[in-house]
Amino acid sequence: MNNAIEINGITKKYKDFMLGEVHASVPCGFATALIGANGAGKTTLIDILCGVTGKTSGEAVYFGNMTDIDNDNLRNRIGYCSSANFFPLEWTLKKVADSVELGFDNFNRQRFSELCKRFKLGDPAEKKQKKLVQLSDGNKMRAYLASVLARDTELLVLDEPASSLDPLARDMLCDLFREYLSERDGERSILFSTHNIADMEYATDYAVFMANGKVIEQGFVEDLKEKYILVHGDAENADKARPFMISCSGGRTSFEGIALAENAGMLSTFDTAVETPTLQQLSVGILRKAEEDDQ
Amino acid sequence: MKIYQNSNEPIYKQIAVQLREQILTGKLKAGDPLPSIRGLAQDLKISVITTMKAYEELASEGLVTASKGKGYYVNAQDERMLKEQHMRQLEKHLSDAIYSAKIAGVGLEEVEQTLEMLWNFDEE
Amino acid sequence: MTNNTLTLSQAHKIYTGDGMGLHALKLGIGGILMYSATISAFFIVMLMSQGSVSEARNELSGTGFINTFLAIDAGIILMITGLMHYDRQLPGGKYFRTVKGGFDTYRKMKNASLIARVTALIAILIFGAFSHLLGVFKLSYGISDIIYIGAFLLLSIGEVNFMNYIKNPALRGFLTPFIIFATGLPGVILPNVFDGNIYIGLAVAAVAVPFILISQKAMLSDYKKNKWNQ
Repeated sequence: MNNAIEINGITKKYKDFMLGEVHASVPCGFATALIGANGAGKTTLIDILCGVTGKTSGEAVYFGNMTDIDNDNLRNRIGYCSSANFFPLEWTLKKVADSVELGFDNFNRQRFSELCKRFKLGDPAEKKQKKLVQLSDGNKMRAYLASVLARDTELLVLDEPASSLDPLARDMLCDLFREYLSERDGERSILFSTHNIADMEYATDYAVFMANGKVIEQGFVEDLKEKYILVHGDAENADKARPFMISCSGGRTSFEGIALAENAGMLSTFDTAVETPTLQQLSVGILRKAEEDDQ
Repeated sequence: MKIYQNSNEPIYKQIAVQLREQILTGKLKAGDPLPSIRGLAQDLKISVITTMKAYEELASEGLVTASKGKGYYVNAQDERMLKEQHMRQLEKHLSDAIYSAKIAGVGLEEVEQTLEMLWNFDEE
Repeated sequence: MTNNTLTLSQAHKIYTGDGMGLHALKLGIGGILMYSATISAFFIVMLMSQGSVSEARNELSGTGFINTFLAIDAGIILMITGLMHYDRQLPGGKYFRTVKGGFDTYRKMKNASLIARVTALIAILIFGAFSHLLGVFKLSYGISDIIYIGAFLLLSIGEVNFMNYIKNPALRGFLTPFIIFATGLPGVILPNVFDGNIYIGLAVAAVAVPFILISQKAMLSDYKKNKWNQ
């Protein structure tokens, strides 16, 4: 399978934080979610991949053969958007269009207008315009997304696109993802970060889990759902089951957690119920394990 | 096609079941293309990888073939294979029936009677 | 570094939404309006105390008043735009790092901004010169005053570039106005010391031009090393 990005041992040192080494893939033709708690290093990794910030070591290979993010051809093919304040706040939609049109070779002003209308942001060609600072956080994010989607790119890299959106807008974001991928079947890819995967479950194909600056698990969602099982049981059996589980939490009457599917047989001897986890349940289980290891 | 997102049956299985049925009943004929993977994902509001897995399952059963870069096409189903497929379905449903019978403590004889009754009822 | 065909003005538009010409125009008009407003305010005060237009004009003219306000208003305009920053953590900062040309586009934008600032400065000074030549408000040493103010404000443009070596934004923001006014002040005082000797003013201006070019280069390479590539 081709990769839109192949991340080979990227690191970045800060005074109080160390990212990496990160080894991960963003498969071509799919939507990849970067999942992790706040402070896990998701934004730093995305910033490095998009040339927003420098790296200490390692390499990223884009589209199979490109490694220099300063290359304009590569910049044009990537549609990046940060989680907040992507543009100066005193800008109007028109200024956004004026700037992005010059900043990239593949901006389509007509499409930008259509997207703004679809997102109910108004017409960027109109005289009287609101400044970004006057928009709600959700509408700001919509404006940022419109500016990115109005470009004909091959890879979207979006940092926390869903966190400021209301439920309806999140649903629309998922639709946009699938639309983007299907417009050029198999040639386009998406990488987005989130700390709340539940709303994006049905728009996620590949998941990369991060904790404390490191990638702790990754794979196609359908494969991960076969690799792991969700286990429920009575509290009295929790101590017996725990050694066979990845992570486990419980109360006075019951426990729940995830385990490797190969332990299903063993766990069933402790009178447990086993089912396929959702991506959300999987995320909680995997991230909980990372948190426990950290303590 | 309809999908239950909150069912215990994995979504890819639901898709595979419905497409399999369309192929076996001849609704989808030999040489017909399946919807594009990402197009179907968009229509059903599910992930791309889920549709892909459904298609791969159908391909592994020999019902469809992936044509590089062009998507999936329905294979010509030979009579014997088709019968075998139907038999497999039949066995699966009967197994379910036996499972229910055993839970209810219903004996083989009673099951046979029920089957006969239903069979005749259906023919009327 | 990738070659790209962006002009200085286009690079400036990517970063600010305005081309270089429009930016210079906005700065120039802003400075002229500010200068006119300041002078008008003092004129009205003088008019009320002196009672006649010519008396009030005489009070203001040739006293160093006009020179001082010309220098201050032009200095404020230079300071505002000279202090604009586009760091990664500021709104738009991440976007700017992804546009084509990368740092090369940043460099072009900074050069466009410098040209716009110098153009605006010249426009404000020309306005001051006209006001003197037309006899609206007289400067003590006429065009000599204009040359002195211009020369020292040019020096301050270079100094603002060097202020970027101060990495603490609060300290930099606090110190910059002092530096600008400390540099602008000789532009107001020295014509009196040298009796309006125009050549000394021109000599300072001649030094200021290479000083600006060097400071711009130093500022850009420092930014690239300590901010852009971090």
